[in-house]
Amino acid sequence: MIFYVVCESTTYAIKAKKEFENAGIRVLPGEYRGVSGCKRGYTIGVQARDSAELAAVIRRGGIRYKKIVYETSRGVYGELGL
Amino acid sequence: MIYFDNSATTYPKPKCVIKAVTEAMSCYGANPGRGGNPLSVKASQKVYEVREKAANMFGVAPERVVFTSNATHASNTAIKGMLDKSCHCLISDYEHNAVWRPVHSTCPYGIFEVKSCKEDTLYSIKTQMRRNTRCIVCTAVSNVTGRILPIKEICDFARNNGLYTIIDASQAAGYLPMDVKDIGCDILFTSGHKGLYGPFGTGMMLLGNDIKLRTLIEGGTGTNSEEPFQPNFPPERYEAGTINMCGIIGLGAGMDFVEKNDFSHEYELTSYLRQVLVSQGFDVYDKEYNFTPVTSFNIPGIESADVDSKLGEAGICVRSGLHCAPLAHRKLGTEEKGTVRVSIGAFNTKKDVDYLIDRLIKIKKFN
Repeated sequence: MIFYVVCESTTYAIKAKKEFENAGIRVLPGEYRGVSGCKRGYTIGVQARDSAELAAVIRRGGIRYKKIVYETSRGVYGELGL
Repeated sequence: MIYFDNSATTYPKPKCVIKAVTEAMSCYGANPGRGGNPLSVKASQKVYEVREKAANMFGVAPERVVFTSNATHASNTAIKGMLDKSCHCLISDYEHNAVWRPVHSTCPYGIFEVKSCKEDTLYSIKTQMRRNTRCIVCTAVSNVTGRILPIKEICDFARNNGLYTIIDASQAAGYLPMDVKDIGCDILFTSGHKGLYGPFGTGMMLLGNDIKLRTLIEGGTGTNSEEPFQPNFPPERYEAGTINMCGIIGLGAGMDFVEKNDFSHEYELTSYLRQVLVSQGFDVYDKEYNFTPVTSFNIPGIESADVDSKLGEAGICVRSGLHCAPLAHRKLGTEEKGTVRVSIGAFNTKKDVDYLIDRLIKIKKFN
């Protein structure tokens, strides 16, 4: 499942990227066009197994985020509440 | 010219620092944390790498590394963010004006004595404590004599008595391990251009826990821009305005340099200098305590400024006077005349020290 984590600052976005990579979660390269509010530099796109896997990394790393957007297989976006 | 004022700022800077600053300025000199353009993102990543280096060096999470423009900026941020006139705080009798002045302008305070033994120092703190004492602010190392203070014991005492601690590591960072967790302090701050060999205009405040300080200045942070108040999380909360990206990158290179340098060379030269000065009848201060590569002394009967000036004529740079630490000079009994301070750096040689000794002996002899 694809998630876009919109972080509170670029500092947390960079930290989030490292935390996901260290946890073996694939970080999606490039820009995240077309996803509302996913500003470049502040957003990390990841492919995680499920929201629980995503949440574990976010909590462990103390990642401060504004919102998390997920993308379904049908290309529909929704906002995730952890 | 031989430079022995490394406690004021280390000079020369390592080549890797100069290279890093130049590269930052010429290759990715965009504003970090201010948008998504590729250069800004690259600058943000580079700054974050330095946060990680500092985080590893000082034992805190990267987001708890706050970049400041110098140690004074950091000390003001910590002291004025934590204290107000309803509080009382304690400072040591070795504090630099970077601590004494902001404390003096913020709240009532007491000055405790750093004694020969740790127990007596803690007793001095205890006798100064008041019902509303909130914090102890203490330097890790005297900038005047290089004496190492028992900060770990002071922080233990503070924690057991419900007090916060702010540690000034400006003269310690680089020379001594300064792990915030190990020391047990709440906040530690340092300059970047001294023992960490970074450029001017760099300093850091390291937050040991979730403590939230009032802000000293407010402004753009590149985060939560729709709101009229500062973000409530570090580091951005305390980094209003454009940060000194090139300086920070240079500071990162300085920390790399420090990681590779064990400072035994500086300690050996300092021990040698102290030994010769004592044997030649110079007044060497705090010689009985553990030290960093700093020596403070006087030649009996000669003003410290005159010695400084004569050494300057011989192409030697030292520092005389009060070193912005009048409390320490009051303690040492040198408030009137000051002292001559020699602080040895990574690029000093034994030949440099021998030349200094030779000149000092001549000044003493022909006075």
